[in-house]
Amino acid sequence: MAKIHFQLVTPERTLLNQELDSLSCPSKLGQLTILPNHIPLVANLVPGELIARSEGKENYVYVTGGFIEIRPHNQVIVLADAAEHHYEIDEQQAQEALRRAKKAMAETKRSAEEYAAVAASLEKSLVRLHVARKRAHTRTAPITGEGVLKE
Amino acid sequence: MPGIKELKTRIRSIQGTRKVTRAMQMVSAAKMRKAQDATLRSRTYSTLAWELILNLSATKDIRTAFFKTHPKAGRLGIILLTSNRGMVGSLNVNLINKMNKAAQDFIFGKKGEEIGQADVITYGRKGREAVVRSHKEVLADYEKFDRTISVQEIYPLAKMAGDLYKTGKYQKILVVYNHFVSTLVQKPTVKQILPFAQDFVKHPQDWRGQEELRETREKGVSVNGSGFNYIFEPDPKAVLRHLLPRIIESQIYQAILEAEASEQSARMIMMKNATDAAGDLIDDLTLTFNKMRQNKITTELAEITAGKIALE
Repeated sequence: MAKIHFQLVTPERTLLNQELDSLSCPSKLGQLTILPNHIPLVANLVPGELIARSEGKENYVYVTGGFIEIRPHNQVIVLADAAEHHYEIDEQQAQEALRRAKKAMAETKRSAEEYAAVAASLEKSLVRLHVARKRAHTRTAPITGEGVLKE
Repeated sequence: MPGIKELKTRIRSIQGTRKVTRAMQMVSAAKMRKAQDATLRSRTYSTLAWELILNLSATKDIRTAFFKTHPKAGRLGIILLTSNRGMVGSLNVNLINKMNKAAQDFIFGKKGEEIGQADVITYGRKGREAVVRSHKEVLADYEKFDRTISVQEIYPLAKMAGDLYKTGKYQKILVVYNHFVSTLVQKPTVKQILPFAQDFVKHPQDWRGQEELRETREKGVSVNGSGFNYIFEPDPKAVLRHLLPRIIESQIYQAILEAEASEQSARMIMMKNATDAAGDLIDDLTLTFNKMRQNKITTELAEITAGKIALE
């Protein structure tokens, strides 16, 4: 069976460079799963969890957004703004970041732009924490950006 | 011929200089390793991003500001990346000559009459000084920090480059920087970052060395200009609106990292040369010093013996 040649890179480093059976990533229109022989595609990624599957093993990576490019001949490239393996995330630190983001959210009076920036950082913190918890196999209910912002 | 005392002072002073240059060599060697690591690590990202742009530029029906060309516009935008401090040999001088040549070629066109103007955005003190001296227009000066910066720190610079191009007054935006090849070799480079137009694909030698092009071609990038007919999700406009600024950022960021690695490497080599030269000089002077001292002793001995013979 054909495999996907997958590369996950950020401006700072290369996280993954391997052959995969399938790949799921958080695109703007929802979770996007890519199987071999996909047609060329370019899509935006949102903060979330990227799952790379290979021979029954799953690799969870937290990405803060970026792009996915699918080229012919099963070349898949994710250009992430920033990314971390799930085991690299320090849960305590992630919680701290979440607390800060929530506090910033609670402050009143801000322009639309500032609001968007704060909301984005809150969403990122939440997703990051969610991915970190996968390590302990304590799956929490999926937290979507939308739901959080309505709170 | 200096006296024996002057010679001694000179040796001491050169030994002092050697201590200084050796210390600077150590410092820049450490910085060099960091800068080189950062450059090499992020090269993958910037190369892949650039390939994506090449593929996209070949795709038909993309109508955004960054793909539009302004062939009649009379201005050339240059982003000049230099070092803050000297002691890097001919690194900055070569780079500024290269920039001036690119600017001249643009200003005077093919027929030799003045048809345009070059405006410069400087990053690094040496570049700013040179541009001010040459009476070009400095649009903005971004302060360079002498460390490995994060990508967020160049957002303002990248945004300015994009905004300038969108005004339609600029035909091209170039980045001029030293490309890091190895510790010993740095290549002054002019790279066009805007527009992302077709002529990139047709004249790739303008933006990169042939060697890199071949490499790109082997990787299966559509250099022939047909494109891959990408699907865009959710739609081309939304994707490109996010994608294009990010690509400009990554290209400028990479150029800054390359420039930083080049600067530290050049400084390390210069300081190593200075240290070695000081060592040679010290050896030379010490030899002369020893000869003179020996001469003096011989003369003194001869005088004493002569005096003794005279007394007998």
